[in-house]
Amino acid sequence: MKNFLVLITCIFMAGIILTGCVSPIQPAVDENPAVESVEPAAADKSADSKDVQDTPDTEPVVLPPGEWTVAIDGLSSASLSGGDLVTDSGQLDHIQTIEVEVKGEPYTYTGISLDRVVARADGEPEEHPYTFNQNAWDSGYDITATASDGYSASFLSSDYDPRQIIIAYLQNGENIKPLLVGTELTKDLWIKDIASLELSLGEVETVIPTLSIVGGGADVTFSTEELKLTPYFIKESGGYTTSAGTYFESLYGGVRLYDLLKSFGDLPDAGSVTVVATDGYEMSYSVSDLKDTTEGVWVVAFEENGEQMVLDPGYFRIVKVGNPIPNIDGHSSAKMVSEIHFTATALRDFSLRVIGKMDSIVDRATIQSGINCTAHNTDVEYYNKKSGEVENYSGIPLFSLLAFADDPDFAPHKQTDRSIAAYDAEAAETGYRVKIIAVDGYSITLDSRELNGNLDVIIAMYQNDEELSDADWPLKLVWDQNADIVPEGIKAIRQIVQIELLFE
Amino acid sequence: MLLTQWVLPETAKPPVFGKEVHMNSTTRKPFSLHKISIIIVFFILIAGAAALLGANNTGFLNITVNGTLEQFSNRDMSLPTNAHPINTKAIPVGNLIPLMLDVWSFEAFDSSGIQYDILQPGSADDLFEIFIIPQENSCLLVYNDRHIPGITDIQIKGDLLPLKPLEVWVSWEGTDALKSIAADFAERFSLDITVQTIPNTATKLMAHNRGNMNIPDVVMIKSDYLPQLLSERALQPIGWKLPDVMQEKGLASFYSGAQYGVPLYSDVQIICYNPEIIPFIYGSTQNENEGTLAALKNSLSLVEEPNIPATWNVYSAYWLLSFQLGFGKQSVLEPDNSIVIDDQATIAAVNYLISLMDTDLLHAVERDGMISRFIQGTAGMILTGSYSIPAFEKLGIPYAIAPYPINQATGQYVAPMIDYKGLAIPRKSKNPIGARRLIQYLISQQVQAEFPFDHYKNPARDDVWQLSTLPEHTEWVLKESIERGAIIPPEPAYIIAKDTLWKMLRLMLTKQIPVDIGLKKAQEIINNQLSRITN
Repeated sequence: MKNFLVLITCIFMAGIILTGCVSPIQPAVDENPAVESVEPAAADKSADSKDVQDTPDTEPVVLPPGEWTVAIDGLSSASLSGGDLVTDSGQLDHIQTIEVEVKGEPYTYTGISLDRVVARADGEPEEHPYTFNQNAWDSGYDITATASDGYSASFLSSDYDPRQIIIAYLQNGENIKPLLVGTELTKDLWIKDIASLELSLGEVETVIPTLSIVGGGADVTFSTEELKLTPYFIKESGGYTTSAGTYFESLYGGVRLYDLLKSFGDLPDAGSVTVVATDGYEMSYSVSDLKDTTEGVWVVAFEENGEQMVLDPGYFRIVKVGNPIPNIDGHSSAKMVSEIHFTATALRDFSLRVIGKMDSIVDRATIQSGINCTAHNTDVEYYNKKSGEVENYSGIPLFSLLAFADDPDFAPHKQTDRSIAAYDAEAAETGYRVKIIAVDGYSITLDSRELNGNLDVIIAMYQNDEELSDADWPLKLVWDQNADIVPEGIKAIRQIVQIELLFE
Repeated sequence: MLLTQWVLPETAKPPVFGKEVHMNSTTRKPFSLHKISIIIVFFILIAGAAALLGANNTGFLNITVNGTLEQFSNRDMSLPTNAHPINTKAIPVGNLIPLMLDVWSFEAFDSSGIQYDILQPGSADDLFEIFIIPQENSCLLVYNDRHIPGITDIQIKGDLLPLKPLEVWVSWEGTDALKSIAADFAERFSLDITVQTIPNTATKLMAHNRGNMNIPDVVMIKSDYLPQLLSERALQPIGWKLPDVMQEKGLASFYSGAQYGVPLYSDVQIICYNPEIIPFIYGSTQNENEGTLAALKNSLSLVEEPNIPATWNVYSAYWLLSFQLGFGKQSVLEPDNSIVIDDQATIAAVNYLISLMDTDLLHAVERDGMISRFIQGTAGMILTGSYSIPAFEKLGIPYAIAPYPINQATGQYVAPMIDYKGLAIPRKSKNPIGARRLIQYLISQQVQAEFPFDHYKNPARDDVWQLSTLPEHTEWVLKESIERGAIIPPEPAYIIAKDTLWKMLRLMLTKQIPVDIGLKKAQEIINNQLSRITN
């Protein structure tokens, strides 16, 4: 028996020793520290919160608020200052006190509850007493609180009870700069020295993107909602690779471009489609390319990953989608598209011959892209003596085209990713004759010295943004009515097919 | 029944039944209860000690947070591998404890009980910058210049960060790797993180900001996004002091009255050349470190047709800036953040480029054409960014890189432009402190030692170069280029100048307009646009 008792004692002693060696596992620290919420002296707990009114406090706090102001922006703009909390009789109004734990110690904060604060701006402008919009609060809007040093945090109103959050001006009875603090509010949302509150109420400027389709006798504008209702709307994935080699892939929502345009009438394979972006950029696609679905479908997309596309790269973007996911060059995916022009007939092709020290045939695409290039695109207002009207033309400065033949060494230039030939300004200053010839053989001759650097004299391809009329097509020489230098002998020669540089 | 009773020999008695029991020396001595008790206690103590030691896998360090002993997994304590044999590998304390909102006490104890106070009260922003280095039976704690050996115990008191979801928008190169790093962070700290690749984070953020749509918590930006984003009040200042090892140029890239972004990495302009066309970019006798414009021009002049000596998009101000600085300009912007481009330095720079084009040493080609010519092996030299290196590596084409030269006439570098990408916190983030912790993780030494080098980018902090896995020459070129380079300024003046010069440079470089007149005209346009903004 005695030995048995010795055994038991030893086991017991061992247990005591082990207990001393191993610390007991402490419970995890409560992320929402223990709080004793002191009932506000005069809080109205009415269930019908629309009728919540301000009621005066009956037990004034000893220290009045300091001088501070918090700006409040919501449906209206207002502010809250320390002085607002003091009534005419010197009483402190709408004050309540909460207790929270800070660094393991209980802290008492005194201030005004958040419902009283947001009530100043959650409705139409009004005078005190302010009506708190409980419905809006419960529906949920974002509140962004910003400190004077710029630190900001947002939270959703409906996640919290506004009466458990205060803008405090007393901490343990001492004045502090206004602090957003709450028993339910996680500490990352406590804002010291709060300077403003923004409520995401109010009307947001809603953009309804529209897309214009011009061609086949149609001139129609569609909203995104209308496009979604067409039978051409699809959602599929597409990708593109930028020149930097970065690949972007998204789930696009948009309408099949070929099918949409075909709904307006005949769309022969030889036809073309030109998309115009909000910054004036243009990109042309052949109808046959748009029709080919072997490697995906061309769409004009306006949704990306379930959201409406924002301006740049939206609101509309041309992209190819399908399964397997197509990967196109980034520059083929025209963005910020606002208009789509298509021709039910084939493009009228033409070329311009430029002869001098070199013989160049400049095709339509080169001239068109040159005009599209922001460095060359020039508009002039030409005064037509016959009609007595001022006409608007777009084109390329004549002297720029002389580069195709003003020296024998450089290859003809194009405006995309191809080499650019230098224009021989020195030769132009030295002087040579420039003969401009129309299809019927009619010609005029100008002096290169009066054309050199002269942006006011252009070879136009468009009048009022349309291709030239048959009488003038394909190209016409015009000049601005306010040109500094009007070359001697210049005439508005039309149907230009050739330019000759004559060096003596 | 015969009962066998264990007795000591001297007390042996005859059995009750008369049967003799013989006890001799070989008989097993009886085992006393006393001895049994000691053995039991001993095993209990061993088991307890084993349990105690097992609670901390390291065997040399206890870390408690608010009294709770933190458990480390082997993964936490596994050290990153790298090819440098001499570097000390360390573990950030931030990797070993939960994410903290605030820390008001950080005490370290050595084995003799000496206490060291580490962090200032109220600071949790440095937890990824405090390292422990395991040693025999203890660890070395390293924090800035403090190296404290023999630490066995760390006690931290503070508020844990509420675990709220994080949304992150990323862009540019390496987004897959960034998503993977974010996923590691999420797993380590039991967070929910969504990472989206966005082509243009600025336009999307501004649209969402205006439209009261969802706002991310962390957004990747570049310096020239800053003016627009600040004008829309889309960002907040980052609000904490960054480690001293962050590159000053990176910090400056995102500073506009306050620090609005944290640099993550940078790309820098470099010379890329085909050694089969140009064996020595600065000539066989000139050290690359001392390479001059004259030597470069000489090397280009030796290139024979049909190859093109040099080609780049000369019409872009992005490439002109370097030459402006090389020809005497002291800085991209003036002290009042305006920009001057009709000065002598710029005139000289443009005239120099014209002279290269006149002598057929330089062909003006836009970016796609330039890259395709280089890949085809018909261009001797191009100007590009370090972001091109991975693609050239992948293609296996012959290429070499070199830093920009010195202009021997002015003694100034043709300074390459440094393009920093950084991380910012939107003003309307619902989890700004969580965002802060993720950013601190992404700029921590361990992440910075891997992600940038894996993508041939420059890290944002200087203390990780010793952990670089880049080839030696590549590392030297990138470091030297950062040293010589100038940042793209986060000011509206730069953006306006870039757009204006895009049009004017074509006219000047193709001699359609004299250089001085073209630059004067461009300056007027820039000044008008700037005055509209400032008014």
